[in-house]
Amino acid sequence: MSSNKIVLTSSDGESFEVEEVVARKLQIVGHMLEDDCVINEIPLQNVTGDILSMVIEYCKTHVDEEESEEAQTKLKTWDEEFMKKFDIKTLLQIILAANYLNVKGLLDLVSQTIADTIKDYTPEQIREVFGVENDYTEEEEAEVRKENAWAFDEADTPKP
Amino acid sequence: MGPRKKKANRRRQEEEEANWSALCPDLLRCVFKRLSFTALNRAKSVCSTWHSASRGCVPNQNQIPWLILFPHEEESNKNSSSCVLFVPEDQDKVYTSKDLGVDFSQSRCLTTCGSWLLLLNRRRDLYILNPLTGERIDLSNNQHLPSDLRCDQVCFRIDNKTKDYLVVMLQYCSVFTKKGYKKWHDFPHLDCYGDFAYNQKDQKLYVHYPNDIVNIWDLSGDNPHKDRSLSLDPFYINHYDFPSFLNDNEDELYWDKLRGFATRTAVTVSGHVLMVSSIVQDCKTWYFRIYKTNLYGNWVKVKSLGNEALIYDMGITVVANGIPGIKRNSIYFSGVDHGRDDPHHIFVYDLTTQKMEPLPQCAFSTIRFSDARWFFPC
Repeated sequence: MSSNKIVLTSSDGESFEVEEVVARKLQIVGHMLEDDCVINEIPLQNVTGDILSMVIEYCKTHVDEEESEEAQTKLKTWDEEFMKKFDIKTLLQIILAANYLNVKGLLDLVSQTIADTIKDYTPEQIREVFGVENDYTEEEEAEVRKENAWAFDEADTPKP
Repeated sequence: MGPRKKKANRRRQEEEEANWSALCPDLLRCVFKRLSFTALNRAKSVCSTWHSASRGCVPNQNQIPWLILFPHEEESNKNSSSCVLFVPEDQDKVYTSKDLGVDFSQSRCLTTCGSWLLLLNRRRDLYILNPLTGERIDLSNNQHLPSDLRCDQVCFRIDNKTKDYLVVMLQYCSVFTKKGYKKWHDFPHLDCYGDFAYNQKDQKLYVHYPNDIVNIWDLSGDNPHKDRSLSLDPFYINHYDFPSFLNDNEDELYWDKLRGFATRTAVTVSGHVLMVSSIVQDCKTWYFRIYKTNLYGNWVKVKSLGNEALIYDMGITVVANGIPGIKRNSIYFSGVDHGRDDPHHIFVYDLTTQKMEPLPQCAFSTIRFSDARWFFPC
């Protein structure tokens, strides 16, 4: 692969110069390069500089994905540490960016991180943590809860 | 406006625009499919967008067996119409089903398929019930049924989407029914009954008779007929294959310790028929051995189920590779005739170590139960 450099520009005008192999991890960029191979500056409308820099950090780390078990474990640990840095709001920005820029690995990683956050919360806690407004009427909410009543009804296990 | 201020403004604007309830359904589903079955159902009540995005979303890890515990008669002063659900995938959580409108002191679960239970009440009515949704389907009346019907004499399959079902019974009366049938249909010329397993793939029924013969019946049409194109060797339990039957000197000890033995017919994911022999010894110790046919139709012992797990009651295997909450190469067992109300007989048997792995205490400590079954929520 050539060491051609590509400049990625965020919606708020921040520019990042990256190796072409790294830029190609963003499939949106990959497609543009295939369509017209002379581009060396690419404006990315839907992503801000702070988020783009995170996505680039991910792509740089994942640029050569080795098959070996050791390398995979190392990457996995890096992924976990990387995700720990972000709060819920940033995770939302990252999932949107990963989707827009079409970085499959990052989309999977951030979806899993969000799922792991959701899984132990009650709906009330989810609303609070994620800042989601409850748009159900009281009756509607009771109805939805009734449908899935068992999922809320954790039995009282005697404490040891 | 300086660049710093401009940036801050932009950021604030974006935070206002992007929020978790306005996330597009595809991205929500991308998250939802990674949730467990219970977490997904809780997430539905967060807001209406999440609820509609969750429609048609099937968790990636759907194939995880749960244990359902039916209340004991003596629990009736509390609630005899809800069951307890033990969920291995949710860090071994225990849930209570809603009031299912069924008096479980009067109804018995014969077997399960997916999230559905096949139940028989004292009036000998058969019906199927989904303990998660409470949905119930009554089967056509069958007065010939004995009230002490056992699970290995019934085969039950249901398609969760179309609700097409099939129930086969081969003890006391050899009959079957499907969705749309007004009454039970008879099996022609089937006068001796044994254990059996149904293969969904080719719609064939493998019947293992008490005289060890294995026959295959084609159930694809309304008139079942014997499939003579394929023949399998007779199968009988081989006690030499079990531990402590090492040599003739220990023979006596083996029979001394033996409390029971049985063979169950089962079908693998790929449609291969299995014979599962089991023995139970003193101190409620179980051992299992699995046999498969080779190219010539002879039964040979197999050491491993590979990446599959066997659900004994249902007589099927499921894929169990790399999924937390289900263990590959093991047997999910819930007691059969040796006391379904005794936690010692409800376990996961690891074929690699050949040991029973008991369930955590919390599974059994919530209620006094009369019966237990593994099932697959979907």
